[in-house]
Amino acid sequence: METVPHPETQSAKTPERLAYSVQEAADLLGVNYFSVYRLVQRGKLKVCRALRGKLLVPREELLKLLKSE
Amino acid sequence: MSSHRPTEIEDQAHAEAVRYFAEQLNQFPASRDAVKRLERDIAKISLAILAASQRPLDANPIVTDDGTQWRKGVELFDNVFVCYRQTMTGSEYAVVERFPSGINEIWIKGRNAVDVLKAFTKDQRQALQIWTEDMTAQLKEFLAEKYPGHDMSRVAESFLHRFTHAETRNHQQNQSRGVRV
Repeated sequence: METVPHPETQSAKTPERLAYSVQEAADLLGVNYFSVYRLVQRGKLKVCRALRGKLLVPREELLKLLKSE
Repeated sequence: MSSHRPTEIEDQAHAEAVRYFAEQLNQFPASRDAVKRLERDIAKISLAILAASQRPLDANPIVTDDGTQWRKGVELFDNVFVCYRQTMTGSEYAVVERFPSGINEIWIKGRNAVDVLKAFTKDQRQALQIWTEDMTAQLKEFLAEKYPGHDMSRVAESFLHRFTHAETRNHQQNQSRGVRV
C-alpha cells in the first residue's frame, strides 16, 4: 500500500500538505471512493469541509487510520 | 440543461467536468446499484448465510481487528463479507471488510442476520448521500475555478443528474457483482 509521503522526503520547495481530497485519500489508502465515503459515514475517517463544502481529509487522520490498520 | 439549448461555453464546461470526474462517474453508479441489489436481496442473503453456517467449517477463518475468528459466509461487495461464528450463546453475524493492508474490520455485528444486513444497508445509503453532497461541492469548485464569473448552474444541474442517474457501464466491474456464497 502507498503511504502518505513523509515530510522529509518532500522537496523543501513543496510545503507539506495539511489535507487531501477524497480522491487523493482513496489513492493513498489503496481503496475505492466508496470505501472512503463509508469510512467517513462511520466516523472512522474524520473530515473537514472547504469553503464550498468539498470534503477534505486531514493528513493526521490518514496517518491515524494507517497506524490503526 | 433543460429549457434552452446549452451555450458553447456550457457545452465545453460540461465536457471538461465529465472528463475530470470520469472515475467518479464510473464508480458511483456501480456502488449505488450494489446497494440497491443488497436492499432487494436481504432475505436471500440471510438465507444464504444461514445455509453457509450449517456447512462444515472450512480451514481459513477470518480474524478481525478485535481478535475474534469468523467464518466467511457471503461476499457482498469486493472485499466485504457477511461472516458468522458460533458463541456460547448462539450464532453471531458480522459484516467484515478486508482492507489492502490485510486487516479485517468489522463494520457491524449482531445476533440476527437480517438486522445486521438492514443496518449495514442503511449505512451504505448514508455513505452514498455523503458522496453525492461531496460531488456537488467538488463540481461547484471545479466550475468556479475554471469559469469564474460565469453562471454554470445549468451545467452543474445537468452533470449531477448524469452522476446520480447514470446506468452502470460495466456489470462486471468492482462493486457490481451479485451475491456469491
